[in-house]
Amino acid sequence: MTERLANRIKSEREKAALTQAALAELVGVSRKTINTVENGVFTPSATLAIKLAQALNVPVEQLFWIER
Amino acid sequence: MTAVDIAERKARFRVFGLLFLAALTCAVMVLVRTGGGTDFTQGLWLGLLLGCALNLIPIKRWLRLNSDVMRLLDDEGARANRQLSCTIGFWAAVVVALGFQLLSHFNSAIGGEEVGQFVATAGIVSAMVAFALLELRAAR
Repeated sequence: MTERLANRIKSEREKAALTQAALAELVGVSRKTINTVENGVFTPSATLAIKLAQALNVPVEQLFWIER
Repeated sequence: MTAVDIAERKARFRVFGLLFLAALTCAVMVLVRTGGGTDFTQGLWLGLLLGCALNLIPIKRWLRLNSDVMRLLDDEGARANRQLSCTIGFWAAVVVALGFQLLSHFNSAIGGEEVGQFVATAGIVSAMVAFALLELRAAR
């Protein structure tokens, strides 16, 4: 069985009226990294996941979940 | 212009730089192997290959630890891409080395210098191209 880390960064980011670049600036990574995390291409580290959750003001478990 | 924008621009420049260096290394390699193997072209090939290898490690980040732009250019996404591309380069080198090992059964005239050049070029160039393509995909 394959597991995948899904996320709702895009919708939360849009709700917060942030662009990818603005969110990248807030968490201290490049826009490319935000883009790949949003699209599920790249699985972020726990540190980045927590930083993203804090920047978007959402609990980390609501932002990321495991999809089976 | 923010650090994120500058890093984005520099990352795009780096991608095209990597692709250009990869193409140039292949062209010099062809020149070396097709009769133009003078000391100059051999040295040029080696210099290019070392330059390419330096491009695969985050040397600028190590030299400028406090730079925000350098930190963004070598963030965890770029590090993951770099790691994957180096793995691809390693396997490309292994495949080429095994190909030469097989070929040497039929042609015993294949020299160590030739094999070394092909294996090193295949490993470094494929890692560079893979890194450039992964970075391009991430930027889309």
